[in-house]
Amino acid sequence: MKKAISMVLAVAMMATMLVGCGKKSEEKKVVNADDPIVLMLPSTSEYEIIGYMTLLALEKGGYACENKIGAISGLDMLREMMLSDECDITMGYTGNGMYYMEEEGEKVWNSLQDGYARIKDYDKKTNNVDWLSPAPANNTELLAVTKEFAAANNIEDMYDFAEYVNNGGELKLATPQYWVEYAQGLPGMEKAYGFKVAENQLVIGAKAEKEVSEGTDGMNCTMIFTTDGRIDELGLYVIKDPLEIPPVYAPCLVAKGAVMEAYPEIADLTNAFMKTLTTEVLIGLNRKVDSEGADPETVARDYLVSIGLLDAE
Amino acid sequence: MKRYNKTIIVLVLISGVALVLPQFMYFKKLRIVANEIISALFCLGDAFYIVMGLIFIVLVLVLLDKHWAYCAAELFCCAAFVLLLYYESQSLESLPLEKTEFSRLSFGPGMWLWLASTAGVIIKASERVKLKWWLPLIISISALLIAALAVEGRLDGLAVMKEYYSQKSMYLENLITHITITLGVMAAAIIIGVPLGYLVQKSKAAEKITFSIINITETIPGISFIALLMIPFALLSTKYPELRQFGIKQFGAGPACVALTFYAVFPIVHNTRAGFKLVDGNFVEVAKAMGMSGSTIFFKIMLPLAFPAIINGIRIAAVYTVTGTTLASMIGGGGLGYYMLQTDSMDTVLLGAIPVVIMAFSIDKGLRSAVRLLPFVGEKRSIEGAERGI
Repeated sequence: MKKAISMVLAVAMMATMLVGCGKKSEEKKVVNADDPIVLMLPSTSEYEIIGYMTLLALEKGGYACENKIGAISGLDMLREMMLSDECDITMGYTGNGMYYMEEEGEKVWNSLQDGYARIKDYDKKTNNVDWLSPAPANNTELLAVTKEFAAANNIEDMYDFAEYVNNGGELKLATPQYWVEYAQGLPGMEKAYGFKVAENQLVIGAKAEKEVSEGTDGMNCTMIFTTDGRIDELGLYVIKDPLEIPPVYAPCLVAKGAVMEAYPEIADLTNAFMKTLTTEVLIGLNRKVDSEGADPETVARDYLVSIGLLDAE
Repeated sequence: MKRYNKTIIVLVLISGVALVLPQFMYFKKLRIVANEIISALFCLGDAFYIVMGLIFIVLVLVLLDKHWAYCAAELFCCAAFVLLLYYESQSLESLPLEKTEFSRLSFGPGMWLWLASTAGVIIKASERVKLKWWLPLIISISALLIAALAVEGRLDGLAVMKEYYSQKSMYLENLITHITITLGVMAAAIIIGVPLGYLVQKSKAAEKITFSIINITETIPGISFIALLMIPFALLSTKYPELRQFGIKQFGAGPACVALTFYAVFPIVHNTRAGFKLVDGNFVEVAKAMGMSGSTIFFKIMLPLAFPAIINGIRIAAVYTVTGTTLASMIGGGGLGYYMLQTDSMDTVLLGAIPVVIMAFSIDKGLRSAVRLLPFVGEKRSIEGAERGI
C-alpha cells in the first residue's frame, strides 16, 4: 500500500515539474519576477472589474502580479489597504479624499480635477501613496425612485422631487447614516432645492435599492451610487441633480510610492484603459457582473479586447 | 384504537400543501429581481403529478406505521427531492415567460417549506428505523445523484448553479482555503485546549488565569475581535516584513485564525476540565492499589474516561469554527465567506452556505457517532452527560 502511494506521489511530482517547466519556457520575460505587485481590491463589482483590468494590463506589460482581487469583503478596510505595506495597488474614489483628510463639506471635492489634485498631493506628502490618473466617471450619491413612481409624479430632477415633498407627497427614504450628516449629502440637497424630509420619512441605516424596487415596507426612495449596475434590472430612475450638490467620486487606482518609483511605466499602462471608463461605460460593465452574473475577469478581459489593449484569445 | 405517529403525518401533509402553494418558485429574468412568482404546477408541468404522487405514497406508508414502511418513506422523500431539483431545472426552457440567456429559477417560500417539512419527515421516520446504515446510505446516494446531475449540467436552470458558473474561477480555491483554515484552527485549538483543560482542574491559579482570558475573548463579537487583532498583526508585519511568509500579515487569514482559535479553545477547555473532574475517584484509588504508576493511571484510566467529554468539546468547537471561518474573507483570508457576504442575490449566499452547512453537519454527526463507537465507553450515562457538555 505504502509503495503504491509513494509511486503515485512520485508520478504526480514528475508531472507537476514537467508542466511547470513547460509553462515557464513559454512565458516571456518578466520585469519583477521575485517581487510581484500585490493587487488588493474589495469584492464589489466595480472594484473587481477595474482590478482585473489592471491585472491583465500589467501582465501584458510584463509585470508579475499577485492577485488579491476581491479578497476583502466589504469596503471598511479600504483606507487601511491603501496605507498598508502589504498592498501595492488598490482603488479609491477622489471624493472619499474628504474623509481621509477630514474636511467633509469643502467645495473643492465637487470638482474632479481639484479634488483629485488635493488628495493626490496630500497622500503623496503624508503617506507616500500615489493616486494615478482618475477615470472620467462619477460614482456619486444621488436619490433613486422606481420608474413608475417617477412617471406617475412627474419627477425628472431634484426640483420636481422638492415640489413633490413640499406638496406632502408620501415618502420613505432609505439612506446610510453618513449621508444625512454632511453638507454635500441630504442636508445639502434640502438646502439647495428647498425641501425638508421629515424625520419619520427617513429610514437610516443603509441604501435599499432592492427594497425600493420591490416596494418593501412602503419604501419608495433610496440613496444610490450612480454607477450601480443594477439600476436597469431593478427598474429604478436616478433623479437628476442639476446643481451637482454631492462631491465627485471618480475611480482612481492608488499605488505605493515605492512601486511607482520602481516601475513608473505602470501609470501609462493603467491610464490607457482608465481614461476610457466614463460613468456610462462603468454602468454597463457593472451591469454585466451584477445583473447578468458574468465573471468580473471575463468582463474586464472582453472590455480590454474591445478597446484594443488586449489581443482576443 | 391504533395510535398514529401524529407529528410525521402532519409533516407529510405540510409537504403536500407546500407543493400546491402559489409561491413555489421565483423566476428571475436577470440575476436579482424575482420577476415572476410561480406555482409548482406551472413550473413543473406534468412532473408535478409525479412528485405529488410520491408524497401521497409517503403519506400511505407513514399511515401503515411499519418498520419497512418508514424505510421506504425515507427513500421516497429523497427521491422526490432529487426529482424536484431535476424537473425544476429542466422546466426553465419550456416556461412560457419572457426570458434572457441569464434567466434562472430560484427557490421560493413554497420550495423552502417543502424542503423543511420533507427533511422533518425523514428525521422523524429515522426514529422508527432500526437499520442505522439505511438513512446515511440513501442520503449519500441522493447526494451523489445530485452531484452527478450538477456535473452533467442538468441543474443549470437553477439560480445556484448559474451563480456557481459566474464564480467558478475561484470557487474551488475558496472552498479549500475554508477547509484549511478550519483544520488549522482546530489543530491549534486542540493542542492548546486539551492540555490547558487538564491543567485548570489541577491548579487553581491556572484556572483563574485561563478562564479570565477565555471568558473575556468569548464575549467579544467575532468581527470586532478580528479587527482588533489586525492592529498587532499590522505592527509586526511592518516592523519585520520577513514574518509575512509565515502568515503574520494585516490582511490575510492570520488575525481571523487567532480569533477563531480563542473561540474554539473555550468549549475544549471547559469540556476537558469537566471530563477529568467527572472521573470517579474510586477508579483512580483502585488503580493505585493495583500498583499502577502515575502515567499509567493517566493514560489507562483517566484519559479514556474523560475522552467522550473531550471529543464533544472538540465537536462543539469544530462546528463553531467551520461557520466562523466565514469571517476570514472580510480581511483577505479567503474562504466561503466571500459568497455569504454578497447579499445581492440569495443564491450567491447559498453558494457559500450550502458547503458550510454540509461540513458543519457532517462534523457534528461524525464526531457524535465517533463518541458512541469508542470501545471503552460502556455506560450510556456518560455519553449523555458528555453531550450536554457538562
